[in-house]
Amino acid sequence: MNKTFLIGLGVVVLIVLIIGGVMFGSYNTLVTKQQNVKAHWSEVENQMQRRADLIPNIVATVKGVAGLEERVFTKIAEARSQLLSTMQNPNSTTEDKIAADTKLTQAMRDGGLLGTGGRFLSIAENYPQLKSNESFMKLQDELAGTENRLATARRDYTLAAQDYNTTRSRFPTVLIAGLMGFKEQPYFQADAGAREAPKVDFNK
Amino acid sequence: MTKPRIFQIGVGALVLLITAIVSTSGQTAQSPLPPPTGYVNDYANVIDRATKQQLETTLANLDQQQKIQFSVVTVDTTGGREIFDYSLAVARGWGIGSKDAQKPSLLLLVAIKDHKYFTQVSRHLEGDLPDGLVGQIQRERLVPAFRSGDYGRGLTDTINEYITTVASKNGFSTDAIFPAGTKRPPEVKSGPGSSPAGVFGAVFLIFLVVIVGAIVVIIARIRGGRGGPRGGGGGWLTWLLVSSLLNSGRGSGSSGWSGGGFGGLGGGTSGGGFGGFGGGGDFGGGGAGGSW
Repeated sequence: MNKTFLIGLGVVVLIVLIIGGVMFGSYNTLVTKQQNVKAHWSEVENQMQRRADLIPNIVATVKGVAGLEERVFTKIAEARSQLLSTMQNPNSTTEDKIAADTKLTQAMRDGGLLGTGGRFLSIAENYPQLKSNESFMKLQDELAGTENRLATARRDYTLAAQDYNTTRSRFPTVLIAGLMGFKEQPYFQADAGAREAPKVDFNK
Repeated sequence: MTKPRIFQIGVGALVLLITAIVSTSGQTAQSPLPPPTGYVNDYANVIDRATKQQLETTLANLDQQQKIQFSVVTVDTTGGREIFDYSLAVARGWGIGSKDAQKPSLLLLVAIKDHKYFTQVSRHLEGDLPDGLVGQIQRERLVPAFRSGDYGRGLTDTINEYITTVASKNGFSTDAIFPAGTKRPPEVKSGPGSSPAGVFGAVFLIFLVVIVGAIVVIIARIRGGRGGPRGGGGGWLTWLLVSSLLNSGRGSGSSGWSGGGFGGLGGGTSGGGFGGFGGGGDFGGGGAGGSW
């Protein structure tokens, strides 16, 4: 009887150890991947900030040369200040920031500061005099560079978030995730412009 | 009978773990092009031999003396992909630049039939070569030469301008970098010996070999102690270990342990000593491009 008890105890201890090991492993994996997501997200925010800083310059230059409608730029300025205040608000969630970023992208596209599909200003196509203006061309490079960086940062973030979400929703990790409050990470919506113009997937 | 099985499973698990660790440390991006054969990769065949040799020497000198890795690629077409995405995939996939992220790197890629060019600038170089400047240099040096069909000159002038800009901002001399200059032997400024990436790779490889060796020896001991002659089992295990290690190095996409080339000597006019790129690939989307 004593022997049976010991064996039973041994089995229970073994099971507890195994479950504990699995839990620790799952928890550590989740923490690692979550850190990776956070690192990539901070790069996204850096580039959002960079873009917001650059917009007033580009608007001023384009306005001077092309003399475009005030209304268009008012919309861009509104979306920009909304993004900035969302980013500065400590209570904003990642979803809020993604929504504000999407709104600014749309406003820029409507205003001709972003081409559909491409990441360059479409406005220069309509105003050839801009193309002979070297300071405008440099500014356009800077804006295109910012859009490229932002697109790259968004994509890197999405890959990290996918990796994390996949791990998180697998059994048995999903139990640990629920227990310890690991939330699903949101994705960026597919770019409105990218949907209009077919673009080859980067990952192919 | 069951003990060796448990050991086999245990060793198998360990191998998988090591493989996982090694392969996750590689780059995630896959290059759309085969591995590089030098600093200059002229897939479109538009650079004449002498110009290519000269450019290759310049870039080899730059790498060996300053640990700065620049690469030039020509292709016919990106196959419908945006040149920005294409060149970023090459820059990351090849792992251009030292693993030490403090070292700048750059990729100038042109698609001849698409009439498109793009320069990818690594994160650490963005301060020295801001997008606007990169765009301006290409508009002034690359576009006019390309329009007249002189691709070699356009690429060389652009790269030389980049190097001069980076040199003046970081306070190093270009005398020993451009082969057209004085022929004195290049002085190594950044310390003797091999690159940090190369040393790290070598140490890591030795470390792995020692661990694997130890595991094999231990297993052999245990087997031997038990006296059971199980022919072929050990060979199978060794094969599994070795092959999985080799595969993990290859599977990581970047140049793996080839390090940043054991530079410092060579230089000269031999045009080379291309030892593979450093595996850095720290590109965040900076740079500029356009069409001609």
